[in-house]
Amino acid sequence: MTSHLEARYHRQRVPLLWWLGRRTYLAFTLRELSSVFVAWFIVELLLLIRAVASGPADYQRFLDLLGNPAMVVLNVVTLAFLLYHTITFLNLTPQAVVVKVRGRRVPKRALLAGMYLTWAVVSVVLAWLMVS
Amino acid sequence: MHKLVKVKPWLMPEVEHSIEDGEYLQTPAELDDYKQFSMCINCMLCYSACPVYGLDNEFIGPAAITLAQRYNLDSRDDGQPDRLRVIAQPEGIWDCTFVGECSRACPKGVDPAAAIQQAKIRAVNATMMSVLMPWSER
Repeated sequence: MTSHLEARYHRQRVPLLWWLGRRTYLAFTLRELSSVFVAWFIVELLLLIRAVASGPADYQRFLDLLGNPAMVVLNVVTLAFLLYHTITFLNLTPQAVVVKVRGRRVPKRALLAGMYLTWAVVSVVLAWLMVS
Repeated sequence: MHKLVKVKPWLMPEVEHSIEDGEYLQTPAELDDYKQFSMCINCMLCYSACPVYGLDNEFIGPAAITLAQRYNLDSRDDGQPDRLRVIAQPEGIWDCTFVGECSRACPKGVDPAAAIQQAKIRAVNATMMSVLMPWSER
């Protein structure tokens, strides 16, 4: 039998760029990376709230900063990653969560449809609040 | 393979029946709760496919956690606290980052990735219950 020590020294090294080897590994790595952009979006939102609370001059300064081409590019990339994060999160949820109604398991498709519907309704309500 | 045994993959009822008392009964709905996870044939392909296991072989791995979840979901079993002590560790369920490659590699459609995520939820629930209602622990 191989000892723990031997097993350790016979361990096959994983290449640094292992995540480029398969499309699914790349999709997973991008999903992990998207968390950085989620964090950035939260920071940006908090800065926006602070600018609004500080008065019209600060708010205008913040809007000018957001209008900078580099910030526009960053926010377009952030939006793409946020959408990717949200869609993959929703798609994976029925695998992780078992919902039962009256003792019967809710089908994965129904759970997924419910989550996308909730996302759409919340988005429409928020858009309506911003426009009105 | 020795990792599979670590999760105590056998029925651990709180009160053991004697042979004279007959079988432990179970409804078809209760069987459905864990049947998918009981289809594992221990081929260990999920370990080969898992990049987390490739990077850290201390990880207890997809098949072992699926096996634990199979018994935790069994209505005849009460051994979840014992198994959670093994799998709810940094080298257990929390090492899994939900790549999902184990479920793609599985030739029996067991879906170990689902078992691991469900085990995470169970572990969190058990921890919350032990904090909020410590008297409910057996």
